Amino acid sequence: MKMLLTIILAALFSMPVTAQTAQLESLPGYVDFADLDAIYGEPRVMVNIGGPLLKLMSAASAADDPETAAMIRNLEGVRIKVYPTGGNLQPALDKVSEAKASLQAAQWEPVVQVNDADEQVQIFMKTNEDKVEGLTVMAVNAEEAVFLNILGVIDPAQVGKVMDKLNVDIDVDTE
Amino acid sequence: MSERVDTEFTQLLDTFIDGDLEHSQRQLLLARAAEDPALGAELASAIELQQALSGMPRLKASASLTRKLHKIPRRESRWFSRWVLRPRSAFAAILVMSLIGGHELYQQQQHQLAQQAELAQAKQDLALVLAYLEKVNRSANTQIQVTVNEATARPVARITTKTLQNQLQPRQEFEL
Repeated sequence: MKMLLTIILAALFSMPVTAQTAQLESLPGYVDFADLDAIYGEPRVMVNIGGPLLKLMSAASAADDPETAAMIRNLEGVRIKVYPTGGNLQPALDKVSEAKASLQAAQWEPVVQVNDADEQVQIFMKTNEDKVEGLTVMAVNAEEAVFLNILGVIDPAQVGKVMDKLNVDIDVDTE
Repeated sequence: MSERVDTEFTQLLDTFIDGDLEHSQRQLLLARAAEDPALGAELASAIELQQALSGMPRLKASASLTRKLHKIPRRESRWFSRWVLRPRSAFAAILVMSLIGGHELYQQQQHQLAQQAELAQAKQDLALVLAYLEKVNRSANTQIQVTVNEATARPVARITTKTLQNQLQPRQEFEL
C-alpha cells in the first residue's frame, strides 16, 4: 500500500501544474472563472487541488477521519480564487453576470441567489440525474470577490454530510 | 627447533605418508632429519607407516558413501574468506555498504518528508476552501433571512394597518 501511495504521489508531484489544470478543465463541473488579475492584481487566495491528490488525502485520512475521507474520496477537484475588491465591485460583478449566463446556458441550476446592493452571492449546482457533478459559488462584496468551484460526482446525501461537516445551514425557517 | 618449523615438518611428514611429497621437499625433509634425531625418528615411523599403507589393497567406495561425499558442500574460496576476514577489508566493506544503505535510506526519508509536507499543505488548502464556502453560505443565509423577514413583515404590517383603519372608520364617521 505504501509503495502504491509512493508511486501515485511521485507521479502526481511530477505532473506539472498546467497538466493538473488541463485535467480539471476536462471535467463536467469545471467553470472558467474569468481572469481578474488585470483588474485586482494577484489573487489573495488561489487553490487548485486535483483529483489524485484529493484521493491520496482521502486514503491518508481514512483511519483518523473516515467521514472526511468519504467526503473527499469522490471529489475530482477543488478550486478557489479570492480577489480583494477594495470597494471596486463593478468589474467583479460583471464577471459574475458573465459566468452566471454561461452556467445557466450549460444547465447549471441556481441554488442560492442574493442580489443585494452591497453584496451579491450566486450558488449553482451541476446535476446529472441524482448526482451532483459540480458546485460553483461566486460572492462579491466591498471587501472581496470569491470564486469557488468544487468538481466531482457526489450524491445528495454526501452533499448533506459536507454541509453538516461545515456546520452550514442554508434552510430558511419561514414560520 | 621452533614451533613453526615443527609444524612445517609435521605437514611434510603427513604429505610424505600420503605419497604426495615432491622431490625437493623430500630432499629437504631427509637433510633435516639427518640433523634432528627427533625428526629422524618420526620420519622412520612415517616410512614404516607408508610401507604398511602401500601394502594394503585399494577399495572402491560404495555408491551411498560416494553420494554422501558429493553432498558435502565445497568450501568457500580461500582468497574471499581471507579477504573478508581481514579487519581492514571487513571494515571497508561495512563502510561501503553503510554508505550505500544510508544514502538510500536518506533519499527515502526525504521523499516521505516531501510527501507529508505536500499532504499537509493540501489539507490546509482544502480547509481554506471549505472555510470560504462556509463563510459565503453564512452570508447568503443572513441575506435570505433578512429578505424573508422583510417580505413577511410588510404584508403583516399592511394587514394590521388596514384592520386598524377599518376599525377606526365607523368611529370617524360617527364623530363626523
